[in-house]
Amino acid sequence: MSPGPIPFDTLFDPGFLASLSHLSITVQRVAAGGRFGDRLSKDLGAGIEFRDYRGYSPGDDPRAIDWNIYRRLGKVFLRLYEEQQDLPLYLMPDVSTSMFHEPEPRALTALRTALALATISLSHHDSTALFPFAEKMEMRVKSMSGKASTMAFAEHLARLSPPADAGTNLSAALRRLADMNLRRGLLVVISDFFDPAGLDAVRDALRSIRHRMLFVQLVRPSDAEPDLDGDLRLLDCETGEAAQITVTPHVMERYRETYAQFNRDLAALVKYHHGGLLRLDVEQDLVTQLNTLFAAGSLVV
Amino acid sequence: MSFANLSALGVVAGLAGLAALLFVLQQLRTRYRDVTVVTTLFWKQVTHEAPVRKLRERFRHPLAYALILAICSLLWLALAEPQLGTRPDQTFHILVLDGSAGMAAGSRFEAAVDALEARVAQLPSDRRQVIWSGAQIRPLLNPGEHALLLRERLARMAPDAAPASLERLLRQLSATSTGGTSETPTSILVFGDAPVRQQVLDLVPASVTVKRATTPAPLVGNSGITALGISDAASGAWDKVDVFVQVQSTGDRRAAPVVTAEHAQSVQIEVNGQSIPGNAIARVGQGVVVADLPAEGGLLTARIVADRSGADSVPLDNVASLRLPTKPILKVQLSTSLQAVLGPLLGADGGVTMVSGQPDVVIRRRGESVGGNAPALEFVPAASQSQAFLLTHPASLDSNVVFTDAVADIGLQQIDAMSLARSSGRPIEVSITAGSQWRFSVWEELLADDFDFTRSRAFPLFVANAVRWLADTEMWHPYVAAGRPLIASSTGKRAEILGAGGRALDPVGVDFVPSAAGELPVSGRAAALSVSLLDPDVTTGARDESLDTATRAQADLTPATGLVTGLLILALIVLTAEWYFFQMGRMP
Repeated sequence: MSPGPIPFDTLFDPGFLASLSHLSITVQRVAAGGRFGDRLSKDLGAGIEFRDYRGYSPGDDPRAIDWNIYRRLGKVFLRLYEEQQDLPLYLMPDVSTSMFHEPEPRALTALRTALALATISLSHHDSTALFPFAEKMEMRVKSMSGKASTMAFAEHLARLSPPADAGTNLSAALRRLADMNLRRGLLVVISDFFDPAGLDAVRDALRSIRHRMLFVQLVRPSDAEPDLDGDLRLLDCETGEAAQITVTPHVMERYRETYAQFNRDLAALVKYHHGGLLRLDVEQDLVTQLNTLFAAGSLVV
Repeated sequence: MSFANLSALGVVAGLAGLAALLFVLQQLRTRYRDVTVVTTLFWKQVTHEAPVRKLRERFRHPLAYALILAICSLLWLALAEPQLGTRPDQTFHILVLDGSAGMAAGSRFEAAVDALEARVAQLPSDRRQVIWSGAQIRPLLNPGEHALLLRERLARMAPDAAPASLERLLRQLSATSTGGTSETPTSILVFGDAPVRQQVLDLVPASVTVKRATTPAPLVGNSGITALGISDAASGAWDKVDVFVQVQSTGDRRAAPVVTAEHAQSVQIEVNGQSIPGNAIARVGQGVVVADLPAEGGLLTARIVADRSGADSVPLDNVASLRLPTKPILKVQLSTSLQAVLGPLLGADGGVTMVSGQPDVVIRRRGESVGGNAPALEFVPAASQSQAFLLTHPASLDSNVVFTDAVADIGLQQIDAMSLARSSGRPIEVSITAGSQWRFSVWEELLADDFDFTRSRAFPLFVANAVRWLADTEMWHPYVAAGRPLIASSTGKRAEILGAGGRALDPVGVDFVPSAAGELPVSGRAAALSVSLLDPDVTTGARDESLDTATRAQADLTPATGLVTGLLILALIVLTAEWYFFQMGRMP
């Protein structure tokens, strides 16, 4: 039986949102082709801030011709301005069973993190999309912008729950996203990354992703130091597969090594794709952790 | 190398069994506890789990198996007690602990027990046996049993109030050895002072050696009652008995009895707790006599009373008791027709008084109404009875038993039946039948002068015994001593000695021998027989030089304690290694 969605009141806390209002996400340069927004795009045109000149080419907007230069030099040049465009934010929270399994589910932190990032993005008039995933990815919100949309976005988040027998297939979700051919933006994957296919499958899928990426890894202390002892049959909450172990100091040491290697591999993978990695402890206060991460008031991706 | 507690085959079999058992246990599937986790991704990389739902798992922990097998093997070997020494021979050792009354003197018993335990510790358990030789002869420690059991069993034991049974034991062992085919040399080592006569030792087979563990210390300062018996009163009084008591002291079996005040001890004699005055006690020969004690079934007790300076070594021989018989005067009614023949005879019997009514026994001719339903000695015409003697008993009794007792009690076997047969011209037969009352029917023709029966010396005895048999008088015992057959008076109703559960211990034809002093319940009597020690050997400290004393026993084998300790230490080391490997995570 799949766990239900997290109640709205638990997820949508006005105090929590208010504490995040001063945070922002900065992308070094936004891809061209988007709507007007607060971000600097690669498009040179309709903005107000002068950047450069270039020669006229047929088809250029005649309104950009600098007639003063033409008068002085007799040649046609175009004035180029920085164009202010929005930053598409693609939120991919993990809604697999493992995110809802424990008494303090990781999904609570995941969805609150998603809501925090969405709130920041919406307040900057950025386009925000919601693509939750488990075995498959689905499109809940294709595009939403403006501060007024925060409540609507929160309601979308509050309705998320794991599908029946939902496992984790991040690679399939990423491929589906790539196939959607969305405008380049910021892709935020919020998950525990416990994909049975492993990071190799994710690595392959990431090759087709053109977005800037931010991975938010949800961890808890028991991931690194499980409180297990004796002869155990471990049952995977998603797949139901069993693993029989006899917990000994040696086995625990090997587990710790394996888990640490997993984290190192995940960090290397994100780094390879020039993305960012946030590691949030679900048993710690989220606001405090975000304030630490957004130490300068802005998170640069 | 040999093993003290197990055979070599047993050790090897045990090791193989342990290895197999532990191997199976290693392969048995562990009973896992189910825990649901968010992912098994990392655990699968850590462990190579076995397939679920299989009884057996692959052999996962060879190191653990090796270590546990090593520990169990070392403990098993320690249990087997390996011996490094070589055995000088294959002698089987029988260690006999003397539990007779003589061992109660001073600390003899404790010293013997200490010496026994020390010797047992030196011997391999499969080649030694410890036997208790007291009132009963029984094994204390069988071959293969651990020596600790001996200490536990001896803790509750003390010398029995019984004569030495060592000779009886040696006879039994000799009979067993002679009948056996084994030529295994056997060593019998006696821990105690029980004397053994040379003629008993001569019965021992050549393959058996008998020695005493230590030289017995001479017994000093002991006096005891060595005889207590009763007999018919010399005065002729039927209902009284004379009592004889003998007291002896250490070192002199022929010493005069010590009954006078100037000796260290004096003797008190009492009946049912009431002392017999000293002036009624007469010194006669080797003992003292008390004459004309009433034979009323009382308990006669003779006791040695030590004065203030007289320390007695063996307390068990200071008291002796004997149950006095019950010998009432029988009331006999005699018909007038028989007065001439039997009147003088009965008048001379001190145990009989003639009455004219309510008799215990009536003597009459058939058809006479005298005496009513009392047990009767009847004289019947030969024409009306085919047998010369016909016994009639109540139907509730077993005819065979009654017949056997009656023939002995009445003394029919002493009658000259051949003479009677010649005189009567008919065979003289004895028969028995069941009827309404006790009756003894005899041909009246036997009273005639034609027969010599009335003039024979057996006739008064025949009449007296017949009267007493009919009156059902009780048999009595002139003395009852431990280790000696129970002797009974020639007439009277025989009583069976009862054991636990009321079972008779002295079936017909077997002399019963009380094993120790105490009381013996008897059938049909409220008062039990009293058995006394009455053993001159115990009291006088009889010594014999027949048995050689064993030289200081050299251990047959190298003491195994060191080797066992080494094995245990080795097991501890392996256990420590296992703990280390566990802490290092090399073992589950």
